[in-house]
Amino acid sequence: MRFSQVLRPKEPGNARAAGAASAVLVVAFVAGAAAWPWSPKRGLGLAFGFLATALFIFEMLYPFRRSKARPLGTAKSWAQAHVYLGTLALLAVLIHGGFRLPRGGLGWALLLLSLWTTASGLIGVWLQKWIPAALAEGLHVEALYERIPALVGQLVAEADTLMAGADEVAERFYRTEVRPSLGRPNPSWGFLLDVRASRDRALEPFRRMAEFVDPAEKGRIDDLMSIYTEKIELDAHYSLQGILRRWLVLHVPTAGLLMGLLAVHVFAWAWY
Amino acid sequence: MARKVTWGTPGRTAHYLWPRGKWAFMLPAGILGGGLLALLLLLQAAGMRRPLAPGDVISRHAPIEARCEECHTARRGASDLRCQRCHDPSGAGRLTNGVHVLFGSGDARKAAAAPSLACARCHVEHRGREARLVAVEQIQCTQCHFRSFSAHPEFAVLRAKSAEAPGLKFGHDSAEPARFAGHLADVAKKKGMRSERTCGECHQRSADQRDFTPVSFDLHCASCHAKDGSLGTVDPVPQEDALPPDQIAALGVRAAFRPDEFQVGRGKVGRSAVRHKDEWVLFNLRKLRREIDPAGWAAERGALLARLSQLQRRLVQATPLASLDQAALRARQQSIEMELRGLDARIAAQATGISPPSGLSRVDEVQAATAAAGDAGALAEAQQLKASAYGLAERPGSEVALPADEFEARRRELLAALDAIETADPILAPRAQDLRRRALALAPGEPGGDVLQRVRTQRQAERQRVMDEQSLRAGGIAPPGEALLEPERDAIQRAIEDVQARLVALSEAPAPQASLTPAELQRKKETVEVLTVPCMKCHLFTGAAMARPAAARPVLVRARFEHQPHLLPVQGDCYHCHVAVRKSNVSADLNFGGIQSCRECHKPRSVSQDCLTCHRYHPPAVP
Repeated sequence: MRFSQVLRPKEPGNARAAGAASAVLVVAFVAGAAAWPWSPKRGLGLAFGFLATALFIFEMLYPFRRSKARPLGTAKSWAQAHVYLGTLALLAVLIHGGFRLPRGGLGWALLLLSLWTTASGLIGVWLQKWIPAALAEGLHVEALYERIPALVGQLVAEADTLMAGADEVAERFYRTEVRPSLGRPNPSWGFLLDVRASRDRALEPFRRMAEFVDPAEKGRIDDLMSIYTEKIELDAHYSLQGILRRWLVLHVPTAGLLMGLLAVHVFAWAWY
Repeated sequence: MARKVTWGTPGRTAHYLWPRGKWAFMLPAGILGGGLLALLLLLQAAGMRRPLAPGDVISRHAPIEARCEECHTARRGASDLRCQRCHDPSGAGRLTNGVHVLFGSGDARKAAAAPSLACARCHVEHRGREARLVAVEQIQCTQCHFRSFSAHPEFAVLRAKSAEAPGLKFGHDSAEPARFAGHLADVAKKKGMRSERTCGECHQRSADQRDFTPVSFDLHCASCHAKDGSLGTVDPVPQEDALPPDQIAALGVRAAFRPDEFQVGRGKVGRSAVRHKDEWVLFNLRKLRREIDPAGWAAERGALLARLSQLQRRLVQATPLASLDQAALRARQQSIEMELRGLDARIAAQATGISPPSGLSRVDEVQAATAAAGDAGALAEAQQLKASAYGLAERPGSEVALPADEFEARRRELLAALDAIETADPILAPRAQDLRRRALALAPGEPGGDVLQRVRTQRQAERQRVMDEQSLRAGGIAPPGEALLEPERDAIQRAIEDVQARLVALSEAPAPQASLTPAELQRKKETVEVLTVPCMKCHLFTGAAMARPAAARPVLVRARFEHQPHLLPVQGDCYHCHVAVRKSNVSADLNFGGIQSCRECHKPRSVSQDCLTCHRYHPPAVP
């Protein structure tokens, strides 16, 4: 998958609507700021604060998409709304502050958390578009993330059985160079950019060994190389599916913090 | 045989990874967010409010930063009352938008209709220690005023075709021999300098180098115009018109006269050398003025007394509420409430027609007070005033406001009547003072009801302040320091001293014994002319009243102008801006090019065009 394809929206209509809404918000800000003194506490500035708060609250309803999705459409619609309205929420936050840097700790925390949560969400969108496509296009093996360790264990057992009757050279090669890396999943960030990364270099020892062993052992080495290739692909799955699941660590807890601070911010505004 | 890759679902093993729960991330997120919320609210409850603040306050406010109630009212935001507690402790209401409109337009009705603007709207706090609260965004001004400097109207003094009245005859370069013929050229010739540099001979830099000191006769004129200290002589005048020095001293007036300068004899007194601000001449002028124009004298004295009363009232109010204890605060509140009840009754009476808005009831009040005092002269004056007022009220279209000059004339009459009442019966002095204040508060064309409403609004604001102070005390918020009040108090005190000095000088003149016959009046007028011969070279007179000199005072009353930053770009060439001075014949000429000359430098991408470069929103403590 090419990078430009990742940027292409799944639902162009939604993207256009979000773009139009952003333009309307910015135009409203420019017109408002030209006509009246811009203040987050009054008029349009305050309205944008309410808008951002409402959007953030909607964003936090995202976990309910599965069981409660029907009234508001499909889970896909929820995801689309989550992405586009989340981005609009950040824009509303920036407009609420008049595109000026905050002065206090609370303001900075709110701005940085808003930026971080939105950025991590957009990174998640990219990962969710990039990783499944990369896995489908670049690998032959398919595996569920939860079962990869078991599959790796099966591969080790199969390799042990295969190499049980091998000659001394092949057996030593398996024991010293192959078995240690075959025994457990080896995740790597390198798979994120190229799912076939370093595969040729990893399989090169097998090719060299195949030239030196007895011709009768060559088939055994080819099978071992097949097992190792499968292991590398499982590693790629393990790495990328792991990233796909764990990026939420960057997104959801900060969103929780953001909501907490937002509640404090609203309280401080209402009280003071 | 090649290895066969088998796909499928392996059975659950010890390596099986359990799928993530639906709330795996939401739970820690909720705990984090909820925990943070609880922590900050706990800090708030414990009095540690800085983490909640949207930013640091300015350094001057830092000592009260942790006590939000110093500035904020619960659920109402930053309160104007709390700002005024320190910044307008005299309760003058000087910092309101209404007063700004009144100062700018002079229109009381417009000021009453002006929307109220919260202090925090323009002075945005919580922008850091180094932020400048006085730095107000330009757009705040353009909400009501024109949006661009290019639309700035011409200066009011120029639009009014020379409203300045410096009280002196002085044309910088008059071609008329009767005035200061070629004055600048003469000075330049005598001093041996180019005419461009003669300005500095009289217009000298102030101590802070920012502007010029006012022109002074002793410093700038005397060297040429009073070489031996004398400005001229006074021919002998009748002693019953101009008292000789010994009689003046007998009246208790302290003055140092040189007897050798006087020629006293045959019922006349003359003077061989008249000095600048000559006490003998000034005393006798005031005496003659009181005799020739008692109404004018009384009106001036009345206006001065009213101003003094106003200033004294403000000085009393300048005792900050914060310095009063709870009992005194309660007393202040009760007093204001009593005043408010009175105002409500008067407003209701006006509305129901019991007392027509023509103000006739007030005239009746004056007449009754005069009658009670038993002064026949004052009573006659009050009756005349009443007849005149009723005549006006009966005139068709009497609901139409009086023309401004007629209004002023009526006011002068009223002030003179009040002066007579006060002189006749000192017991009525407080009432007279109160009426004087009210008379001066009236604006031409403004119905009495509007004035009452305006006063009512002021009193309500004062009551709010008292109540707010009481609630702050109850909340344990200590009174602020008085330091911020000092400059205001000093300004009021200086103004009081100035008015008192003028009143003392005015009152030195003995009261006339009886009304003058036409012959006496004529003689006294002639005496005035003789007495003022040395003065009239420079000073302007209306009858026996000398115009108050105000040479080189600032002519832009609603804007601030400093010469210092403007001298550098023109390399000290005064004529760059004051082109017209070369042709100036009269002192009332303003001699500057107006707003267009400002635009030469104050333009986009050059010198600032912001309103606050020249203007101040809040009027001074003593206007």
